[in-house]
Amino acid sequence: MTTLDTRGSAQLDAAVRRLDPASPTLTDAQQRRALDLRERILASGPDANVLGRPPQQPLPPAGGSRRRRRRLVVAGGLVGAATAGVLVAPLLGDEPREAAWSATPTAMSADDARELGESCLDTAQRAIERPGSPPAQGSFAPEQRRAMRVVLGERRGPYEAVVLGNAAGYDLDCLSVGSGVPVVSGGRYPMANPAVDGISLSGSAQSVEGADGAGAPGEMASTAFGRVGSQVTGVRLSTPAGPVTASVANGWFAAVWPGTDTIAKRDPFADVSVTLTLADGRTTGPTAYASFPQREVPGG
Amino acid sequence: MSLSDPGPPDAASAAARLRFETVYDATYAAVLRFAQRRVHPSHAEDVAADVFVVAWRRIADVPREPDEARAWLFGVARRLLLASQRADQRRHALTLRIADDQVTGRLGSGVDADLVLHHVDLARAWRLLSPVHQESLALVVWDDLTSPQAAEVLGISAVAFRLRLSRARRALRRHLEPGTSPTTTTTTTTTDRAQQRSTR
Repeated sequence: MTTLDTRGSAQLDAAVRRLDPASPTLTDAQQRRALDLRERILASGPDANVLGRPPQQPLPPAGGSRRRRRRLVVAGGLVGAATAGVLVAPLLGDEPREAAWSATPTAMSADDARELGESCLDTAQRAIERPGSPPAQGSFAPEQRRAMRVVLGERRGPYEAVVLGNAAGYDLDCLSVGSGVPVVSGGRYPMANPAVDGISLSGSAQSVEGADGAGAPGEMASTAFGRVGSQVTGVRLSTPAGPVTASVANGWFAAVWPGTDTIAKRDPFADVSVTLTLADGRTTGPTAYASFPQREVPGG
Repeated sequence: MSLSDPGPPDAASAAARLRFETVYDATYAAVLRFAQRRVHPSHAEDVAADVFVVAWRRIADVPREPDEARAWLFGVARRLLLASQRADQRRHALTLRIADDQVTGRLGSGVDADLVLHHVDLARAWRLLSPVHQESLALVVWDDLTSPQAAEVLGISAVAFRLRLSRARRALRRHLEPGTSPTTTTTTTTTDRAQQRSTR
């Protein structure tokens, strides 16, 4: 048997085209009914009962609800966005979540991570180009974004996160829920260089409340991410959602968890603590989230 | 002239009629096919009729450019189909029918066994896709929409749609890989349910 060649999009689409159940042409009877319908509609007033039954009413377009689909807050800066320099690019569009969040991450393929990373960069670019946007700075500056590579990707049910980083310590941190367009956050300043047995971190929290019922009213998702020292092999967090095992790769870590705090009522990282596992098997912590270095704020 | 006779159309309504006729003649077949892909064939003409009743009421909103008009009508059709689902089971994506008849009919009776097997593999892989991924592929491959048009039909951004489409293609390839087990999935179940619900 030969193998179905679906390597390229064109080949795959050609194969899918063969599954099309629709008739390529109208039958004579369908054409007659179509002409009859056209005449009946044209002979009717706007509110006439053309079809001999109540006409269906379409749902309103999704565009209106899309605008309120994702409300974003910056809550992970701890001392506030002004000093911690957390910048968030809001985005549009999502789809329903498909499965439950898990405290332990599952692997994301390199292809998926790269694709989500590209989507993040695209998101960042569009946020910058939006009329009225402030000049791009920090992680969003063109020279920093150009140097970024995907350093980490993780998946927890419908939550997918990637971290893009560069050698200067700048990062873009992206969260996509249910394959939706990611929300991107970055720093005004680079992430602090961590001690060999420590980490530097930052975080963001956002609403995942969906107009289509994707999330409960006020439902949040929190992301913690940062750099790990050369001796750190594992990062575990104690969060309001319970214990969370972070992903660690390429000198970075990240973890996403759902939260139920009402938006902006309180810092969602206030009760978070972190336990580190080191290469020699020792563990340190739990240490309060706020005790770790964050970004290299000039004069800070 | 009877009292119920609306009388000769004025210039504005004559223009609206002409406009509707143009749109109708250019797009009826495409709208019917759009419906055939998503509901039982016996129900597709009802869906198309509902779409054009909406188009007549809102003829001033229908885009002038033929391709854009087609996409606009697809958006109406999709929202009509979503509205026809029971509120408690309303989904965010429509499941798509596939040409099962080709397996036992046109392809099945042919001599090209590979083609038949490929079709069976594809059909099985398709059913493993989520409704969101099925819909993304169908809008581009079957309904012949551009990504921005498909995004408009779904009410999402073009970037979001491209991301979905890319993931849909990847998921389909994954399901086509040897060793993917032919499991019964929720997708299959919801396809049947959706079709039953849509058939009045």
